[in-house]
Amino acid sequence: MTRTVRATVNALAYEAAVEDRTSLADTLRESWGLAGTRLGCEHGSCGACTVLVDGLPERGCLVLAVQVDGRDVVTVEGLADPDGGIGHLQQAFRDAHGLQCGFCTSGMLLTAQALLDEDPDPAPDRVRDWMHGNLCRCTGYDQIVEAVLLAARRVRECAGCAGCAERARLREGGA
Amino acid sequence: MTGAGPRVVGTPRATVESARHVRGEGRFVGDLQLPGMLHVALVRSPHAHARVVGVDVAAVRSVPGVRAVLTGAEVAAATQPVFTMAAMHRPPLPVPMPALAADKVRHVGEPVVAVAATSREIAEDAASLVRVRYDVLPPITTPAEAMAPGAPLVHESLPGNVLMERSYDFGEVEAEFARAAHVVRRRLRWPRQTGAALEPFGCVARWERGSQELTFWSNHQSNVLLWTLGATLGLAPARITAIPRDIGGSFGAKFWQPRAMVVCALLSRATGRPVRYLEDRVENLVGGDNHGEDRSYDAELALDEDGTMRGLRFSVVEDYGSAFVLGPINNAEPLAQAGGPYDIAAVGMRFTAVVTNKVPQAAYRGFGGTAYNFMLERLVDAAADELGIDRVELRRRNLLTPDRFPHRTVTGNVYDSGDYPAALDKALAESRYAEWRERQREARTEGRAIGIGVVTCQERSVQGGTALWVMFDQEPGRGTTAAETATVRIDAQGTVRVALHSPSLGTPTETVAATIAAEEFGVAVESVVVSRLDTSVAGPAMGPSASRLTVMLSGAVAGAAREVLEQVRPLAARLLECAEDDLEWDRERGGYAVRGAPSSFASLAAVAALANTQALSLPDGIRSGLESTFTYDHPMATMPVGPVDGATSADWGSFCPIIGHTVHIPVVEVDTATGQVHLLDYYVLHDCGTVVNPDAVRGQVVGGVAQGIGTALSEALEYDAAGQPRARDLRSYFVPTFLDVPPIRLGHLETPSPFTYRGVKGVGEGGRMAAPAAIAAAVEDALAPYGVRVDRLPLTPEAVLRLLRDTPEPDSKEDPCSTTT
Repeated sequence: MTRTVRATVNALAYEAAVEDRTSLADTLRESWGLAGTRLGCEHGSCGACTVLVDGLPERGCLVLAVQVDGRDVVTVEGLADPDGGIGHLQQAFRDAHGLQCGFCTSGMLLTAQALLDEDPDPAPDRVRDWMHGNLCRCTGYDQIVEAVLLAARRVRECAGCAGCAERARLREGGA
Repeated sequence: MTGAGPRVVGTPRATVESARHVRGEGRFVGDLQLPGMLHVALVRSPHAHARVVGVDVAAVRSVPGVRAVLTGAEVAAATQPVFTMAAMHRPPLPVPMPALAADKVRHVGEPVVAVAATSREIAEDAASLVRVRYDVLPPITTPAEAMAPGAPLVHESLPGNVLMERSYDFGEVEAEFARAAHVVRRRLRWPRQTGAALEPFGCVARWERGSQELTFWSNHQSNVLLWTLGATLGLAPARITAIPRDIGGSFGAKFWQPRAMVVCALLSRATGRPVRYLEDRVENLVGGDNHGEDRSYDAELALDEDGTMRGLRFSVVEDYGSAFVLGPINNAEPLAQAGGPYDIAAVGMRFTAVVTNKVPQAAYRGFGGTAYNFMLERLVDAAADELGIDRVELRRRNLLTPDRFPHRTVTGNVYDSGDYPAALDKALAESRYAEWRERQREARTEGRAIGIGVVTCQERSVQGGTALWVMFDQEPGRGTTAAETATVRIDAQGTVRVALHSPSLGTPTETVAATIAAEEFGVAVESVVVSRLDTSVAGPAMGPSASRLTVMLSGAVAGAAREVLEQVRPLAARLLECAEDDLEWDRERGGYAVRGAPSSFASLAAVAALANTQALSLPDGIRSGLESTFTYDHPMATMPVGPVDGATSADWGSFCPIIGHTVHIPVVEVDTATGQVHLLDYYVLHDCGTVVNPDAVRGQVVGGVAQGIGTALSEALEYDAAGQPRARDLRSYFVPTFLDVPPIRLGHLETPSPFTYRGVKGVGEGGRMAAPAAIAAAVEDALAPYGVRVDRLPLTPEAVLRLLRDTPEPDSKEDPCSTTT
């Protein structure tokens, strides 16, 4: 059967009529035009579809759209500034070469964002442990770990600039 | 352009591609939305081998939202056979790979019926209503079964299930073996694996019936496939256009994906709508068109008393699966580096390729060379052990020395340059090899099993076509080379634009192109705009494979840029009112200046404005525009010569002459209670000539090592005796995670190629090509006190425990060598 689901996605209101079985990832990609969430396996193994639901990383392919009714969702499209600039984490992935083909990158970024929200100064082993549900077939992971550590350092050194504060506020669902 | 050395090449910088990917703005095929687009679900065979005796699709057509159903019989009636390399073989091999099976299925996962509907959910629901009746046949799951007398036939038209048998002697193989003091022998098994890129295969087809134009958007890797689909579909190839998308990794597995593309094209023609198919992960592993090599070696290395290598001889039995897709490349291409970095005077190859009821064999990073290097390096380790010579010392004694380049190898391929002794020395020092040996001794006194592997590997690049001549016994007049094309244009605003003529499989080729153009014009890399052409306007361009694109694209982009600079020169002379000979290129400012009068300067932008918009002011005889399209042929290629039919001293010509080199030194600890292999350290020395982008090279090498770790320790596409795949998803096909790959320490050596743009060499495959042999050596070294020999991969905990218990493999069916010699 079809129901209406209403959610806040990247601080904007979205609504769709979905079947009970429709995944959040399919709804984001097909109904809401947010195709940056990638589907690599559709059975929860690869992490490419990771998004934040109420601030915590979830597999977009395992969460049903109806489960996010009334909740806050952040996708890769929500990591950028409203004015179009990219955040420290995204810039660090560029500078540290934390990607090649880019297909795992959205999920990597959101999983890493959740880590940095919880632990602003993670040790390398913590990064590997936290991230290990996200697969990458290109990089061999080293440069992703370095990208996350670089982003953490920059956020700490930046210590709450207007851009950082604004991005944090948006991720928390403020509008 | 002239004078100063490279300034942009070799400088670390973020890739061009990453700007869109960190925003989720990559343009993958699954992101494409076209009005009215239909979605395809495929009904796939649950059986390895069965006759199709009935296909009932009646219930499907009445499902609301279903727009078309396609069966194997309809495909057979509407098309010519899908092109595979079986058609290139002489005589053509009677082993079809139908887009949809009609009368028989030949592997689990083979597509049988296709349903197109207004959503993927409806298509999948409707597909579940298709009823296919099968008459199940006994499956062939190993080469030994395939070649057994009276074995069931995978293709009735191919008696005996044997596709190819070939034998080649390069050099005086018999004589070298006769002269040698020692011959070491090993029987080695290499498991079937696959690239398992994060993005599965996908395509969108739109067949416009009025104009008879067929357009594909897809993530297939090579333009070459497009040349063949016209014949299958009954369209002139010129009516088919492929528009490249971003590709989410391939590693060879998206090189040849014809079946779903044919299905989508036919469904689009039937419905008048664009039609999309996106493979899911299970289909990717058990139903795609691409698994890697799957082989067994009986191999011998002949040496003198002092360890001097004289000859290498091997017999390989290869399981090509149910069709003849790219298999022969996997057997021929490794002979570009047949003796590795060693001075070996003779190489003898026999190979037998058979059909089985498995997914067709195509390509996986290394194109057969990964298994080949495992074979060669395992033999070298074995020889060292049997001769009582240190494994590193035996290698050092046989390495080609720098005075030998360019070096024509025994198969005819040429090595352009290198310094292998220096690479080994540097690797031993930087890996702290001696220190690890000391720690190994200490650990052994504590009962811990630490081991160190040291292997070398060649990394051939550019990839000519003559290795494929193995399929027609060196019949002349066939394809020899694989060019690459680039277009460089300066627009009216002075922006440097580069158009690439082939897809990228997810490596930073736009970055390479922008870097080379920036280097040549003296502009910022970020200012260069790179685009990709579709095949309707693309020139000769095979696209990515075999580590070739850095060499090929730099040659093509630099060639085009230099031709454009020659077009700029007379216009600059017109602007500055001087003779062309008085001009010199000023890299710092990006324009021409009058020699000795630097204030007389014409910028690229000023010349571009003149060239593009002021034809009335141009010198006589010069037309508007600044543009060059340059097709680059790789250097050092030669024709095959000499005897055909595999007679002694065959020469396949020089087909992959630009040669990188790598040394891998992993350190492992084996838990002898659980069989778990832990990587304590991993050092890689890499020489890919001049480095264009250090971070990108590191990513290629480390990513390759990570795949090699999976190859060595966890990945296998095994089939049970009924032909059912044991690995069906990413919970049973174990690709390495963050916790399985240790930090990789990387050392660089640069021996620039004398024959390429600024000395670049290829870099894509070496990481994976060397790592399995290196880890096998390390595990064997760790378990030396137990007398364990590593002859097969992957070294899963179960496999290691079996080695320690010294028990035979439980399933003897899995050893195809047993009846082949």
